[in-house]
Amino acid sequence: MLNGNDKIKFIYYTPDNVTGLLKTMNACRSYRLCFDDLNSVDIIDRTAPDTPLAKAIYPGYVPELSALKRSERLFEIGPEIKINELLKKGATVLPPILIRALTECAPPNVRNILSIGGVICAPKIRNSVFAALSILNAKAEISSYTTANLRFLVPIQQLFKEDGLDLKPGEMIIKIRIPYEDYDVDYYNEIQDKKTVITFVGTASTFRGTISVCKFAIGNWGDDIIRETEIENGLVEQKLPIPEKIIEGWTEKFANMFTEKYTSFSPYVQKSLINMFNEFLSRL
Amino acid sequence: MIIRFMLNNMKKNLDADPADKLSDVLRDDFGLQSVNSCCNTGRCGGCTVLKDNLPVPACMVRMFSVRNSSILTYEYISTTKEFETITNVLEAMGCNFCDFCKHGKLITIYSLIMNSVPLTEKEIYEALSGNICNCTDFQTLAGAIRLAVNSIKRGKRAERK
Repeated sequence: MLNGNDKIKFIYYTPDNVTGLLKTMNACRSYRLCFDDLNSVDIIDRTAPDTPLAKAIYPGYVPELSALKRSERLFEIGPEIKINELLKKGATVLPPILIRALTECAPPNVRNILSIGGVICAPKIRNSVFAALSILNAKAEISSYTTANLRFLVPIQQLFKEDGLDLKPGEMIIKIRIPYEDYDVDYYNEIQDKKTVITFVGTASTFRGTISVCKFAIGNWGDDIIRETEIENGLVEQKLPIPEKIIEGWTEKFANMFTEKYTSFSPYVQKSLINMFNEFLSRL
Repeated sequence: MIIRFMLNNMKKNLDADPADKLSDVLRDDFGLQSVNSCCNTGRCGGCTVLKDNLPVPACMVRMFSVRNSSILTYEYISTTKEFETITNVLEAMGCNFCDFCKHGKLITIYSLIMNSVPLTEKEIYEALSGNICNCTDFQTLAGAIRLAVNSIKRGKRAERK
């Protein structure tokens, strides 16, 4: 995010194609990656940490980064595509849970300049979209100038470490890949605490009267998303409709998770999230 | 850095710092007083301008992303025929905006009517959710916007005949 460093006079680069972008990134080493919506990420060369951060790169003029493609198995979303454009182009093809998360992340006039790459990189608004992308098994396709022919895929949850975005100098997210899957149940809800917006997203598929896939995630402002694979796996192969007693049992297990692991949530938020989990199970 | 862009349908070459906010440039360098940046986070909608015919908060747009794009402000939009029709209908329906939100809301309504017709109440509500001021009753406003759409359509039909 923009901070006290703003007083530094940056030299701006606005490349027009992917090769030019990767070449500029490779040459700059330490730079600030800027997005349309005031969000930015500082990529620092850890091998030479004393290099002054004086160069800024804006990838918004690269047409390849603003494309949405749909193949047989997956959606390929360019990180610089604007959210409103994505919602227009992908209204009928994108998973409903992602559409809901994208719609909720900002008002429509802000969505005209907000890019999906910017949303993922910005810690304050990352939560809603990030949680949805996580349960959809989205992967980021990363490329660099030195390995231009070697693009590698990283699961979206592994893009971040404690100190921020885990991209090496010269690396760039070229696409966001979302595997195409049809889910029978989509659930999205959010709760506002004093300063934070916490999102609960869930999807599930059924096959011959049993749950075949069940995923849910809690997106927390600025922090990593919370996923409980133990509960998710436990719900798989559960016969439908789920009896109330079993729903109560799983809800209790979900509630215990907060007292054991995630104590930072206020009691009000905890109770709301438990209710959301209960509602999600009741919808199955 | 010299930035070339269209401002109110006129070509401009501006030597500006790429990190400057569009709202500051429009007010300070071009004297366009309709751009009121109040919150600087894109929540209030006071600094709304049309960038490539889409409403955006100018306080969230940096100059480096303005290159080769078209910016329209309230000063230009208020001279168009459609805008006159819209304001006439809004006034007749009793929708008088306060000075805080007037420019932003009128630009949003103008772009909404020009870009997407017909409009549902949900679409109108969503489009105006970027302007936080509640000085006008929403139901009256939604009705007035629908009326304005109809009168613009009628005007276009009459022109063709």
